[in-house]
Amino acid sequence: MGFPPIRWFLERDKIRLVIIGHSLGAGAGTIAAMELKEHDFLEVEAIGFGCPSLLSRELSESTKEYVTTVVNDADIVSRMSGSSMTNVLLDLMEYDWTHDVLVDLEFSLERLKEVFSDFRGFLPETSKALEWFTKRMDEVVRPTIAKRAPRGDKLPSVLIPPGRCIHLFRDGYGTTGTYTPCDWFSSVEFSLTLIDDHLIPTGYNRAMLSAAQDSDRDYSVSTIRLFSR
Amino acid sequence: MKHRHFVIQPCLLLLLTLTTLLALGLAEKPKTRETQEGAEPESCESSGSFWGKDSDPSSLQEFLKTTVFGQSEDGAKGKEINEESDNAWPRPFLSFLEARRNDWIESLNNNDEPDTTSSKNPFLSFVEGIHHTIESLVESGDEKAIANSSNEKILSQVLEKVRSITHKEESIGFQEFISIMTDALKRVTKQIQDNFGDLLATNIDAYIALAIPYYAMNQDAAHSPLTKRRLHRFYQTVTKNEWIDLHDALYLSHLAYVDTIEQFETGLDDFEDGAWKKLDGTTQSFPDLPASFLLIHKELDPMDGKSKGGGAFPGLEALQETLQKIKPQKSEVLVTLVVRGTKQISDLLSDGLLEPEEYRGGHAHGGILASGKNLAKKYLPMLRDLHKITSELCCVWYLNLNATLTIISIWSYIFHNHF
Repeated sequence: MGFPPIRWFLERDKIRLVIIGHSLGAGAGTIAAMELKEHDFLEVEAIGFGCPSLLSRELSESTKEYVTTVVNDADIVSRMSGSSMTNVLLDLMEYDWTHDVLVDLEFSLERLKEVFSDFRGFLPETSKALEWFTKRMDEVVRPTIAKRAPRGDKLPSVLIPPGRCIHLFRDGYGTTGTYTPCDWFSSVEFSLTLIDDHLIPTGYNRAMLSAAQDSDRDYSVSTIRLFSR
Repeated sequence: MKHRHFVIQPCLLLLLTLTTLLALGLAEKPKTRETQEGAEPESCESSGSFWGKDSDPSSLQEFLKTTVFGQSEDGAKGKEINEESDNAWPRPFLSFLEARRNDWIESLNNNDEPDTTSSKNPFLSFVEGIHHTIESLVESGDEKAIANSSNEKILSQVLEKVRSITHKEESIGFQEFISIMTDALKRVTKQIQDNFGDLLATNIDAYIALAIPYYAMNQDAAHSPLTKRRLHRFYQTVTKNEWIDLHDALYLSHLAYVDTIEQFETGLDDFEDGAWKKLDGTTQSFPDLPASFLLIHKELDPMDGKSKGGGAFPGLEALQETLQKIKPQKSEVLVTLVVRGTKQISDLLSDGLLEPEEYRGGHAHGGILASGKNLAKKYLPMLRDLHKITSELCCVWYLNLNATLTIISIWSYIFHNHF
């Protein structure tokens, strides 16, 4: 036990201010916290959900004591800055998707023949269709992609989320949350859930409830049990 | 010799403390009463306390007679007690100390092992002495009713005064609003052009649309749950309790998206048993100023009492508990500022200014930086006034004890370190 130190008596006369926000609110709240922190009569803390990439690394580091940022899985807003968006656009332009589309096409044609077995004769032969598409890809699409590719290095990411970051992520069983470095969120994670993850009802609320429920469970134990049977 | 030194000094200190206590107490008395009486609000919105349910003077008298000063049928005696109470210490403080005295006696009675340390140790004897001195100043009273009434009373006054401050705020005219919006739109368009203009003009074609699902599949594979599990395996996991606390914050963040103030207030009433009150707020946002709500916790110092210290010295522990109980009567006020995210066009314009701007030797998101600064600028005067008001209202009678407790704290700290 520590007896109340002198500081205990001197710090009484303060207003304890907690700034809370989501998205833009989290970002603006963090800046407001940084501004208000300078005033002695306030004891400021900020909690943000889905805060945009807001501060440069050193500044983000300097707010660790009083700012907490929760980032849900692939939430795009927390990773969104001018440079990260430009980089993702460059990635998208440079990505050679021709092989993926051929695999997709082969699978789709086979499936169509299964579903519409009565009209099988009207559908093109898979190998011939793939050959035709491959030729088109080589002649038109691949040169276009190749023209875009040599653009040099990506832009450096200047901004990251502020303070102490918590990353909620789908771990394969449920949802887990860990304290992670904020510069993990300096580039966009292009996922189909990047918008849903940012919203409160479909993203943060679901993930946080799941993480709270899953926090007591040890899935590794159940996996071992499964294999030991 | 050393022990004698430590016995004499606490005795002298005790004497000094008592003198200070009485002197300050007498000096502050009229002001305290005046504050308590004068501060009674007309439109008190309390719940569960005397002040909230009825402000009728006769029922107040009855309340004081039956609840605060004991159930005496003798009118003359009741009057006498009332008169005595006029010269007494402020009631909330006394009631808290009374409760602590009972706890103290109970804890002593429940202590199975005889506490030989406290009687032998001069420091602990000193602490016990101080504690008993404080106890001796305690009079009987209904702790809960008085504490609640005091808190509600202070809260009502704070609300009243802060609202009078916020009402002075001037609203923006339609023309000015349009001008702000147009200006923000121009800035956003310019930044988009600067950032992506060249890229969009020369490299966008129909193939990009075809690439999106396959690029997403590729990225999904790169960020699979297994990959994430491996990446996170050396980092500290957030606990269930932390999630529960964070979920409360998420509730308020979500609530901020409602369409009207009334909806916000209804949602706030459902939150934490209606423990929060809205001081100020708006659902209307502007470019560089998001919608926000300022809330105050109805209980003063609500975060207190969560951390309890235990120790080898029951005397110290009891005194610490007594001091802890005094803390809620001080001026630490819990205020929450809830800032809404992107909902209106004006919010999008703030978001759209992605270009980093220089800030405190580093960089910050341009649009949000301006929003945050404006937010701080908007609420700083309000918080300053709130601090002033709560300090004035809460601390008048607290000052009576402040000097004494500080002396105790200094001495106990020194003694504790020496032993």
